[in-house]
Amino acid sequence: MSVLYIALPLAILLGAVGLLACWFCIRTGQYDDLESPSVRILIDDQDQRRNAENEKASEPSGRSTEASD
Amino acid sequence: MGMVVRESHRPVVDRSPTAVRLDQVCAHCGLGITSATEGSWLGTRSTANNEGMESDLVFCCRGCAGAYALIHELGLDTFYSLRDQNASEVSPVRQRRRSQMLADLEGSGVPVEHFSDGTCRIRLAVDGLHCAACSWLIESVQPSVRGWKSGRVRMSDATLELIYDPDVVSPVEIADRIARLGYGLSPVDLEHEGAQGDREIQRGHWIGLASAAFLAANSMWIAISLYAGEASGMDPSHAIFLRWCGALLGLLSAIFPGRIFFRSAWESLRAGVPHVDVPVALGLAVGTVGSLVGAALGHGNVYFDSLASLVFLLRVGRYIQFRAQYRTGMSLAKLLRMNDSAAVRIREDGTRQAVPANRLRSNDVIEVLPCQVLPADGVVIEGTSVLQTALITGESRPVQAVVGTQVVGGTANMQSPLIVRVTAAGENSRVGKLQEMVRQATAQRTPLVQLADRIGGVFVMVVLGLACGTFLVWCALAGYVAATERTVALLTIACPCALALAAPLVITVALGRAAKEQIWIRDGGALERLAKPGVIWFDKTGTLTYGELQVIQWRGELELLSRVAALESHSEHPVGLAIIAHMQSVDPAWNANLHRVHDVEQRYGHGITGSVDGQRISIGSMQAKEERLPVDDTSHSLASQTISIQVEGKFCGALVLHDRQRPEAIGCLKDLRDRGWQIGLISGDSAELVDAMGATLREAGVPLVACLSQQSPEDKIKTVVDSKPTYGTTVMVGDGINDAAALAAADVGIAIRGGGEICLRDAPIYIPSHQLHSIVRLIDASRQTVRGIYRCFAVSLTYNAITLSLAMAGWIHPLVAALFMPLSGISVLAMALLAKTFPPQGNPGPPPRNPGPPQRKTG
Repeated sequence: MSVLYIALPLAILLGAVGLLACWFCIRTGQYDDLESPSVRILIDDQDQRRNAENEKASEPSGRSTEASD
Repeated sequence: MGMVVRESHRPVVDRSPTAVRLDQVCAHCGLGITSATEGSWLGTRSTANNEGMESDLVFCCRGCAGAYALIHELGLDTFYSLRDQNASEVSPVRQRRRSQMLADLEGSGVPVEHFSDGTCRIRLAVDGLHCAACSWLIESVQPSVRGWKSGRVRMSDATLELIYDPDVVSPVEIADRIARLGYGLSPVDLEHEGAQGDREIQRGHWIGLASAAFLAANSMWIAISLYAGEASGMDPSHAIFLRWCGALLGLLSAIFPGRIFFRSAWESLRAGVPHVDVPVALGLAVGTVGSLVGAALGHGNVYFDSLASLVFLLRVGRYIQFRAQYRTGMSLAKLLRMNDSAAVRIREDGTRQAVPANRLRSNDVIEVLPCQVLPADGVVIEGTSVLQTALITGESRPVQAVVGTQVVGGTANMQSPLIVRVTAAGENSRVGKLQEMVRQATAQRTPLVQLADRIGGVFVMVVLGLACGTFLVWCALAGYVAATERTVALLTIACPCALALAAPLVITVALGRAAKEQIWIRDGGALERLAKPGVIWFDKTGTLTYGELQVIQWRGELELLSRVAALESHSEHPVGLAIIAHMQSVDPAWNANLHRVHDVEQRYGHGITGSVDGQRISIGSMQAKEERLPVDDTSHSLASQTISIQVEGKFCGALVLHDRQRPEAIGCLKDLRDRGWQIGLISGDSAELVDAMGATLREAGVPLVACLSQQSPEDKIKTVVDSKPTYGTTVMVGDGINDAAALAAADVGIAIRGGGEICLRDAPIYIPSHQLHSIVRLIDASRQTVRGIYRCFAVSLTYNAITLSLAMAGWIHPLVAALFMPLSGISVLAMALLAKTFPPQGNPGPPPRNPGPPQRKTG
């Protein structure tokens, strides 16, 4: 019995698992927007973190950053 | 305060009414300056002065002053003018209406998804979205709003997905926060836009591509090992196993990603219209069955790898074509969304509530403010005003509306608020019925067979015939095995993929170039159809003319005109708007505050009277028996409106107003005629106006095949359809809702930007700039495109003729054939990309941004 009979189907099966994962990603809409993600990676996450910190810092002091409108 | 620079780089200032001094605006961020901030940053102003900036600049904070100084230092001051130009400051009225709609999500028809932890998910439209920085700005606000869990902007359709906790924060609060950045959030009906359907199709394409690529790649390496095994002497049982594996993959490829070809082939067979997919499907079927037989018999080669890669290549072509059309459709959908479709409903208790126009019902009472478009049909129950009906009827003169007048949705209220009882909304309204008509016209349009499909069909029939012949002949001469081998070689090398790819590629390239020239083409087939001259029907109002009244003559003193304009600034009548626009063009520095105006009195139908700088001025239509006019009204007597000005009861001046013809119209029509097109005029306007226009055109040397007036939308469809057999290709160019059905019924409908966005949905070509010359460019490009397609076909057919005869003679081994196959594909690809569409010569540079009169303000 040659190893081919096991290896080949196994290889194709592994590939098919990848294909299924891809199918799932497409179905759940991860490929719907191809524009924003490509530019989003250029933006540092740091800003987000700082904002969160700002918010925490400003909240106890009566949320001075909130505009009073 | 005021010092805190948020993520937006805009200072958050106290905007309570008492603290804001409106005359002080920060030079960088444009926000009002509070007394508090002013006090602390007066020093900033003087520093700024020292750096050589203009002296009257004030800044709200050091951050802004620094940013300004930097921008100024780098010589990037254009930034400010560009910013102001693009700044879509969300108007307070609009924002309030939107807030009301957001407050009642159910009523506005926004689907809300509830999660188990009490949060909700909704998707809203964002306007003013331009680039990645915009989406970053919006998303960065999220952490600073309590209860707003997540916000993701999707650039492709300009929407924002919100997850929020309804107990802590409402969408209205989030929208208010984002509005302060200059972006408006509004409910959106994605289902209705067709975006959802398109997205499903796009997903289908992705999945098809992925699986086709997977199957093609795998069957290819199995094929390689088979060939290699043949050379090195593989164990026969292994060869059989590999063959079966390849066969399985190829079969899957034909069944899953390849099934779209079988389906469309089946549909085209049922409809009796030949389509390129018929031969493609036949080729696939024959190849698959043949290879299965080969695998089962255990001799002869199997060509599943070729089949799988053929399926993959074809799907790539399909995807490219779909993508181009999807993008155009998307930009259109976004544009249509801008057209605020909110209506103000008055409840029984007298409170007003904003609702999306498509949720109005009969017997609702609505308020229509000046400059708004009526959202539904109805009867006026309160108020008097003037309506601009040009979009619905094509009539260029405004119409009076008083209590009891039947009004039609889609007309614009020009003057004063109206309270209207809705009699028909949605599908039952006039606009709804027109849309239904458009749908019918689209469905009834005989589909023109695309060039590629015609040639492709013939090609594959020929190839199949040759394949059968080859098989039979070689069967008789050399037996079954050799016959199969040669037939497969022939089928492989003659793969129609070059043909199937050429046309979509050339058209896609052309679509992309057209979009750069501000011509949006949604249906690639339209480009092909424009290559053969036929007849072009032009709508008059708004297409060949500006669609708005303009002052073409003024007799009197300039000083008087200035006073007249000041008086007219109290009116929203189209005549008044035209006079003000004229005054502003004469003297750009003019403004209405130069004169003291009081006691303004408007009598509907009788003009406007008021006291300007102490003198009583009345403006009204010229009475027939009035004093002799000091205007030469010979040339425009029919199509124009004359207004007389009286000061203290004495006749002092006169104005002639006219819906002016676009200056480029005659040149454009002549160019079209030179290219062999017949030209016709088709309008809903009154006979005298249309005939006057026709006469002007004929005088200028543009022969018209017809000059039709008072055409209802039904008449327009009939005219357009009837002219098809006589003239061949029928093109309709129009801008209004009344043209929409005719645009859909014509072979090619070209919509020019007007206010009637409904017609844009159904016209395959849309020209958002008002450039009539784009039509000429389009027709030239269409010829070039078709020529490019023919060239690709010629190369690919020559190549095929040579290789086919070699294969039939048995000189090409199937393996060599498979190696040759991509050659024709690559050559076609190169030619398609190099094809000249929209040649640069004759391009008059970027068109002026706003060639027409000020755009009509709607909404």
